[in-house]
Amino acid sequence: MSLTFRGGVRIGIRKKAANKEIEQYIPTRVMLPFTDDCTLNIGDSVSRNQPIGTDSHGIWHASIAGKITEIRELDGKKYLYIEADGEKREEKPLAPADKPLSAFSAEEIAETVRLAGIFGMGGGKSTAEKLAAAMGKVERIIVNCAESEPYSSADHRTLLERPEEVVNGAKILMRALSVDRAYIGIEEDKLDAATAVDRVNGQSELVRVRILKSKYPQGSEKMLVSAILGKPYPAGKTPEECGCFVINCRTCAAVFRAFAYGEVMTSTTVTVSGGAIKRARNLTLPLGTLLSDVVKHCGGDGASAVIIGGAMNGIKQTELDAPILSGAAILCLSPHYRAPEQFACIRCGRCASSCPMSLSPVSIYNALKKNKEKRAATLRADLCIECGTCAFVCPARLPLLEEIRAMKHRPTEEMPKDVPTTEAEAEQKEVAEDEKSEA
Amino acid sequence: MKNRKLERTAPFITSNESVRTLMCDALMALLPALAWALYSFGMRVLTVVAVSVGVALVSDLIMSLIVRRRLGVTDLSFAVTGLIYAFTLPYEVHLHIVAAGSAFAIIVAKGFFGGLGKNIFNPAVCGRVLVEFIFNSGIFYANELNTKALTDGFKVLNTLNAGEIPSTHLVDMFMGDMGGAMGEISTLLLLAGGVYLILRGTVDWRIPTAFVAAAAATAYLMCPHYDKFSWVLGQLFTGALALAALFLATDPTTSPITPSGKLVYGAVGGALCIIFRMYLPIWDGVFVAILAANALARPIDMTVLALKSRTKKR
Repeated sequence: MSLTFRGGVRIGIRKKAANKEIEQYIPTRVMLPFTDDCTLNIGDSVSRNQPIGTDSHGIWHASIAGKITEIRELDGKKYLYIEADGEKREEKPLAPADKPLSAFSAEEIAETVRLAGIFGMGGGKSTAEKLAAAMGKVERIIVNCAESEPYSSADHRTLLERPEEVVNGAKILMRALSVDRAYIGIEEDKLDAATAVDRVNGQSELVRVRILKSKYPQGSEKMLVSAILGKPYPAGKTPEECGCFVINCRTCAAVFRAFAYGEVMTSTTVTVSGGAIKRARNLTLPLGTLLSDVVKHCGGDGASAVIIGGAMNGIKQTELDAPILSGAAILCLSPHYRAPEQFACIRCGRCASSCPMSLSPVSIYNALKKNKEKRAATLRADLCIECGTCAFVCPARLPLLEEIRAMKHRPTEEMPKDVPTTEAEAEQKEVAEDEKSEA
Repeated sequence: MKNRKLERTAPFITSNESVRTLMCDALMALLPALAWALYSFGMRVLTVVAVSVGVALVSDLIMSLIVRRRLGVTDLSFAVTGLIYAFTLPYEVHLHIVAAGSAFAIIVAKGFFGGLGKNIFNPAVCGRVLVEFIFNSGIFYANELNTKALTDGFKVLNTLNAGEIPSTHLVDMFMGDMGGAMGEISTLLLLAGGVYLILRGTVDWRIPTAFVAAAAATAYLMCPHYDKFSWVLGQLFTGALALAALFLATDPTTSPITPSGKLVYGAVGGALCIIFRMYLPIWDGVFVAILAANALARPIDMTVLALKSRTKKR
């Protein structure tokens, strides 16, 4: 029996890039964040792997060798625009491990991860910070290879081509967090990846493969935790509070490479797919590669829209000259793409029965349509993981995800201030209001 | 990525199911019962269905013209309403009665509430109950009292409600070898359609299950006859109970959204169905029971959601 969670939906779209080997792509220019502590300026030369600044992602390193020709602003953020100069200057800011894993202390491993500038392929959070916060609190590591998102194959290919990096990365993290269990969660449509892991892992009891049902959004960390622990995900808790340290398999491989080869994080692996792309492929590319370069490289010029993050909950990009700074899939919609015909809501309840967080999306949607944000809050819109399952199954094709996401991402000052955030606060508020009315 | 402007966004793929395919599913599921009606009562069945669906189509077109909304007929919901409404009538019924109920169902019971998805009461049931009250049972059946269809069905249910066991065999009742309204007679074929809908995922199993279970339990508790087994099964196999449990109560618009709400709703409908049959002076209390349950659907949902958000702690 494969493990799974409550709700969700079987999408059944063949992943066209699943049998395509990961290719390298080196562009002639990249854009990397211009952080507050960055001392570089226009005209400076940088070498590959040279640290260029620190922000919430961790330390950024130059992903190609070249010259800074511009400081560009995009969406209110500043970016260094680096053009390659054709030279192969390279720095080695990190030394490869010179002693066995058992001789490393947890702090040393965490420091290596920090210096390598590793951040989550999914969330973009600094892995070093995540490690520090989880230290001593978790009982198990879960490596996320579920990849339930249609079209994406980057995790699958990484696991097939370099299973030893993922398995050993998990072992390094186990040492860092001093836990004795790690699970690799793989969906049942990627059993070849599970075989690959078994081949390197042998009979080791430390790292265990868990086969999951192929169902969207199995790849969401909360659903993964729910499936592996075999119980509903507790509302409002973080995976760490459930005793689980969830890490993406590509991030896990990056930890291993930092440790074994002293490699800092300067690249990411993404799947480029969609109706406008004739040949879907998996690319390893330097961080900060421009979206327009990748799309052109893959022949997606005719796309009616470019989406980062996949077909279910990705975001349509209005600016193609933007840097790729995550491991999310890139989707080029076919020029013939048309939004589906809409109908009236018949209250069929499919959105509610498929919601992995057991919410009632249509009720939240109706509340938001009437500008009743307070009601949306009591329906726990804050728990929504924005997976898009509700909008996918909706026979009326209501823009459920769009409305809920728009509300959640509105700047906080616009949010109603009196929404109780916890049960205790809500009670306090009620008491206060009662007192007021009595006075 | 968070500050990037959100526009008409994900998902960029959707399931193949749309409101139209759901309605097609419902029509497909009603076909076996329609075929049985044709076989049992002859070609006039087609005339009644054609008038009912035709009037529903015209009414729906008129409504979407009046409210100047997107053409509502493309979702095919009018056909489902028209067909189900026709199923609740005897085949000898006057055509003006068919037309009146069908028009009322679409224009008043659906259109006045704001169209598909906004109505509180099941349109087909509203049409059926209306014609029963306006053209009271005398007129409803007077001309044709000598026909097999109605007298049989009428007698069976009346015998049951009077606390007796009718002479028709239980197996005949189940298979549909009896009189009654066109689409109601064969519990077996309605069940086949219902199972198809449940397997397709169009209908939630909770409502029919709760409905039938509650009806059986209520019938057992209220049973006036010593042969409880035959009496209870007789109640389940006669009249519109199967049609109600599988096709009327499961109308998504007029039933609760929440899974636990669906169980409560089905149970309320099933229990009221037997009670109304016993105590209301109309041909089949099922229809009134459906309307009563419809009225409770949204309150049930709100209660379930309120309880849920109370238990969900951060």
